[in-house]
Amino acid sequence: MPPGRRPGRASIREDVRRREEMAKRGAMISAETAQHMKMQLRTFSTKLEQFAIDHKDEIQRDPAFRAKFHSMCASIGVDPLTSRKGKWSDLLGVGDYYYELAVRIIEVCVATRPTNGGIISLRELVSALRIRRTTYTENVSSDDVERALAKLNVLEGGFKVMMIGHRKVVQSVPVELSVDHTNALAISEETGYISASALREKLKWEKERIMTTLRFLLEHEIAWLDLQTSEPTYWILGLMSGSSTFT
Amino acid sequence: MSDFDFPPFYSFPPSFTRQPIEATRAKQTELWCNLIRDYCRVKRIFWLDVSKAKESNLFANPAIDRRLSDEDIQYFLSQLVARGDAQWDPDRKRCLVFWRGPSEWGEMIYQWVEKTGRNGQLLTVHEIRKGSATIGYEFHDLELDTTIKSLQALAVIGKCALVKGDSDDGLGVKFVN
Repeated sequence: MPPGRRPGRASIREDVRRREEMAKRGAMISAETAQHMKMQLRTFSTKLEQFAIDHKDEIQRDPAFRAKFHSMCASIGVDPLTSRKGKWSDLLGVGDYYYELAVRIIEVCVATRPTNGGIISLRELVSALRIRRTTYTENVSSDDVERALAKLNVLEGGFKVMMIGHRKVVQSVPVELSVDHTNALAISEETGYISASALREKLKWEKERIMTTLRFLLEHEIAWLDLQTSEPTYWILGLMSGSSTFT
Repeated sequence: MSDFDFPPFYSFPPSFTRQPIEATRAKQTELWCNLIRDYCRVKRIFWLDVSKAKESNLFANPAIDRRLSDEDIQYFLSQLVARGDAQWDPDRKRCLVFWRGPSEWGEMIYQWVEKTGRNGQLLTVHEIRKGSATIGYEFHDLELDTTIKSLQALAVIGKCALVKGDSDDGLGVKFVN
């Protein structure tokens, strides 16, 4: 606006009118777009539903297929697991699938707890589930187990998945593991056991720190002691394959 | 003698060291007791001779170079006795393992009695254990003490009456309906 001249009333009115017009048009366009997108999404959703119905058996049976289906759902923001009452779980029974699987997971964790103190590698958990050969666990994948575990998280003090060394480990007891504990557990990765000398060499710990950690693992029933070697060894059964068959 | 499949825990080295932590030891004890009982069942061992068992694979796994110490063998056997699945000989050199309960054996014997129409007859313990009529039945050649215990279990529920004989083996038994 040129200096020295104040805008006239008419021009102000014109300005307001134009702005209103633009806003109206803008709203129309975005309404149209939204409408269009909604329709697209509905079509897609219907297609996905049809796909799910057509491939129900494969989704239930084949873990790789199930994982792909889940990632497809996730990409458009549909979570077939969120609600047990939702149409997705009704349609597929996937909700039921993970609930049932979660129950089996709890069973395995509880049954193996006396042997492993509530620490079990994801791999061993999966193989323990497969051995049970129930409808829900026969073809289970570690991906499925993690999904089911995520569902279990609604339970207080529930199940935790963590990395120990290069392995995913499921913890089913509400014991707080410190960094020292998990570092020590990681040492067992290759041999299945930990010893004071291994902790001294690999982690450069002092004697007291070593003994405190080993003592903790024994007392929390995570480690089993073997005295028939030159130095005591502490075996982490939950991280060894085959230990879940002890029960 | 039939082969025995050892359970997975038998291949884990720490299984052969008595665990210092009570909860872990309880689990270990359960595993050892089940193993001893199952081993005796498959090998049909009634009296487990401790010194003989010590040299067998039951208490030593050469594949992983681990064995139970004498004290630990005594410990786990005592636990087996404590849970009612075995009984010590007074000198503790042998252990009578009940891999089948007395009432279970009793039921088997009673079924045979009914099937062969021996109700009301007076039989000797020897006839039941060693007689040609019981050949092929699982209780044939059953250990003597176990047989008597089984018959006593039957007597308690009124299915037979024991009649004193000149020896344990000569003990008589009369089955009733």
